[in-house]
Amino acid sequence: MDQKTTIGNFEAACILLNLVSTKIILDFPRTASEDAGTAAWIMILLDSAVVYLLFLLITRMYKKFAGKDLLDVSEKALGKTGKTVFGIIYLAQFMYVTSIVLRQFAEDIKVISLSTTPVSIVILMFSAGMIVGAWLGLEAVSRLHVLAVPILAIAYILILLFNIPRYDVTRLSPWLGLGVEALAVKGVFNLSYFSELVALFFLMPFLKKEKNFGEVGRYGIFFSGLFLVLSTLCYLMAYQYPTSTEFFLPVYQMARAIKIGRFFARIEAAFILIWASCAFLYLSSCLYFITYIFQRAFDLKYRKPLIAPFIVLIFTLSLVPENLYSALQAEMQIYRIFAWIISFIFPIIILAIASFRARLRSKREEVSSQ
Amino acid sequence: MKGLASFLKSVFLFKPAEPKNPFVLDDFENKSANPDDGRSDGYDGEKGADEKDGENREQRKSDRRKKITKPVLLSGNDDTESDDNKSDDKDEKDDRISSSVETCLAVIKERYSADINADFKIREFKVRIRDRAYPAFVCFFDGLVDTSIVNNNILVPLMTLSVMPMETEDRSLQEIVNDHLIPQNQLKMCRSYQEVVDEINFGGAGIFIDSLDVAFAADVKGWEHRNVEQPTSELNIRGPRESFIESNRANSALLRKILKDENLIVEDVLVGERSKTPCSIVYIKTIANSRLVDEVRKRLKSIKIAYLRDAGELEQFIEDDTFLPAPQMLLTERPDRVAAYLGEGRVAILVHGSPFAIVVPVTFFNLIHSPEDYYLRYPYSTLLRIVRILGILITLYLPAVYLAITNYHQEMLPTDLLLAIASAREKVPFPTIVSILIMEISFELIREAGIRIPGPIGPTLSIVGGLILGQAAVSANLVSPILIIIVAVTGIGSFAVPDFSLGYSFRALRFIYILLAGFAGLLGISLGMFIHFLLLINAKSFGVPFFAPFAPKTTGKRTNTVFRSPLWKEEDRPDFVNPKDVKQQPFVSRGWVVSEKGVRTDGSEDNDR
Repeated sequence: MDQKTTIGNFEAACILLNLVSTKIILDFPRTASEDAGTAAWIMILLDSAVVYLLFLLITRMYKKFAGKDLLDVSEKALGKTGKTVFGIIYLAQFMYVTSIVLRQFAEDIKVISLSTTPVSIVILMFSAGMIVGAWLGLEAVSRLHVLAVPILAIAYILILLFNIPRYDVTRLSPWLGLGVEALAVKGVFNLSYFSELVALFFLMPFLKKEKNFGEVGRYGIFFSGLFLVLSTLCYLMAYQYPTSTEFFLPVYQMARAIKIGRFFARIEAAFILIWASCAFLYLSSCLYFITYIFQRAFDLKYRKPLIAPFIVLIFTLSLVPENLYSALQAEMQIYRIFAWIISFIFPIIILAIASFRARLRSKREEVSSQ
Repeated sequence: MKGLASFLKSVFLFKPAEPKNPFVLDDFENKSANPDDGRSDGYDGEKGADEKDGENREQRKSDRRKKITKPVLLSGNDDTESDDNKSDDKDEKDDRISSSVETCLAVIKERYSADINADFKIREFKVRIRDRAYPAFVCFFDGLVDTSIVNNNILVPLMTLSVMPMETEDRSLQEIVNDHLIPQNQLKMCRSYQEVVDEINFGGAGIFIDSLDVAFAADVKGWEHRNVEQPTSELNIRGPRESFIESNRANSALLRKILKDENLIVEDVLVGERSKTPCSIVYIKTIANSRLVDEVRKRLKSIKIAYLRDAGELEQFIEDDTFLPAPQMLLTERPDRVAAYLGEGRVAILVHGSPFAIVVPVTFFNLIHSPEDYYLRYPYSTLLRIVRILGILITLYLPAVYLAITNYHQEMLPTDLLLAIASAREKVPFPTIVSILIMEISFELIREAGIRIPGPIGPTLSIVGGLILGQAAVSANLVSPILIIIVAVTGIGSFAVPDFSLGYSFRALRFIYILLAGFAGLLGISLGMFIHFLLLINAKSFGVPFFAPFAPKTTGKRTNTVFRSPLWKEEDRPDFVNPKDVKQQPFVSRGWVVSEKGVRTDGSEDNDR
């Protein structure tokens, strides 16, 4: 019999933190600033608070189903068909976001340093890392997260710290940015920034202390929220709106601005290591979840044979957008509008139905026993 | 063609993996049915079944190849089994020692081809007991035994002392010989020829006496061996300077001398179907996890090999992952180092004929420690560890990073440095990757040649290779001077890796990193690092994750991993080894601080001091 894979709560929290926060090094602070102007950081702060509350609600509802993943719960709620349907939905969500992020990373790396390399070659290199990660499985990937995430977090904080001379608080005014209405409307859609939190519901069966899954989620939301808010706040303090909407790689721009004396004037290339490490961790985790969801949705015995077909699919999908701009559009105008529903509303609905049916069943049993 | 076809088939078609049950060292001490004796029934049963399965499979395969159709047995399997048992019984009977010394002599002569085996000696004589002379002989290998012991402790008593008056009336001949006539401290009574032969092969003397259906095997080992000398591959300034030698018992004695603990167990296992090399599993009974000891025993006993010559061979037979780019056990020639690890609850394996002991389980961090770390004050050893880690990083990444920066990320360099590098490279006709590969391969050649050639010429070659060739290469504009610096620093960094085997791993991986950097700059290096770390993190050494206690994060303290803490702070043994007793020393290990520094024994400090 195979040894059961288990991961610690700290490892799970690191996976969540990386999944949610990786967008910081892509386009996140810019898109936030486009949506809410100088008040982007307030919008993210409010979003974090709302996500936290939603998660508390989900945690409460999930208590009865601790140790079961979302597909198990959907089977309890809507039977085998429900499990398959929701499996396909979550599979589609992960595949969509993985292929777009893969394309974005590849394009960004191409712009930063490999300007003459075809984008497909860069994507292939990322794919190689993804395959190894997904092949070795959740245990290896989660352990690597434990080693890498703190180092990456420190490196990112250093970027923010070295930019301190450029910060100006007055750049945050007008404090409400594009207005309360923009904050409210865009804020709802931007709950999607936390959409990767849904991965926690698929990590459930692997948690060593499954009863404490709420803690994992809370830590994950707190730290990822903290990093998202910090990154937006620092970016907006460093670059005046509307200049802040122009840099296609905001954090790279901030890294470029670092000057420590005459000798260390152009150290941003070293941050490629951070970019690439984040990307490898994010993408390999996503590929793992994709194969896992497919395996669970269709009750397959083996997961590893799915890696090859899915990497081909993701590779192909990532080449569908014509250019970086199309990829960004695909994320901003399609994914972000629906992702929050799939990640937060669907689980609430599934859990509500499952709880209701469980209660009905227990009542029926009580009646029959009487 | 057939092989190619099956390879292609294995690439494209999925074949479900065989069910695995990897060993994981957890803290459930009493999980196995009988943890202390460790010879778990399950194992033997499993082994038997596996062996049978394996044999049957082999048989089927060979049958298929030969296209032999076997007749169906009418009597069924039971008969074959009983036939097997019968033949076993027959073999045992044949192997029993005969009471006729002539028969014994003939058997031994035949077994050892005594007529052509020049170093095999047989001395025939007579033993006089109760006024009767019994023909007898003693046999041994000349050179393996101490002949003075054979003369004084075997031949003299048997040939001359036997005529002395003794109270022998109601005692058997066997008892008289055993109790009075062979004054030897290690005497074994053997009932089969094989037992005697095994003893003779390992420096014993076989004694056969007429009318006895047993033989005596006396331990009279006396072969030539090296004295205990200074270690050659793990040198130090502070600390003991003894190293293991090629004798198993001498090595276990070296450990006993350091530990002085009656709970130190030295358990012998013979490995090698022909060589029957004695290997010893060494552990402290009250500290080492029983399941770990069981696992070591199980792996050693399961090895089917003709000859085992060295610990390096044994390492390859018992390691968890053959293809991992890092060693999964520690081979050391220092008894003090092994003793320290035994004290932490690990297990050591000694192999007769090898001056290296194997220590399991180990983590990556153990491999970057030096034995001297413990003998130096902790600030110094912490500094040394940082230097060592820097050396490792330089060995692995410096040439690759240089290549990535000069080829892809020139903007990273400050202008002055960029100009210096550019002007140095101006006249070099090769691309940087070619220059680096030329230099790295040359460096490896010099290193390999330096080890292989006779001693006095070694330093000359290093000087010729290192200085003159390097200078000539720069003058001939084949490589840039900066590249010489890079390669030299990389080489020096590789010498700072304390573990010999890990050093090899880094030397090999350096080339992969260079190729990846040449292909995609820092992205290539990141890909290499990602896969390298994934493989290392996924690895286990005898059930212990290779990157414990960081990945996975364990509950115990993380002292003595990357950095060192003061010795008095290392109160616990490593928790990932799951020792029987985690506490190594009490919270206050320096009794004097209670009175002088106001530290209380419950762990709190006196705020008023």
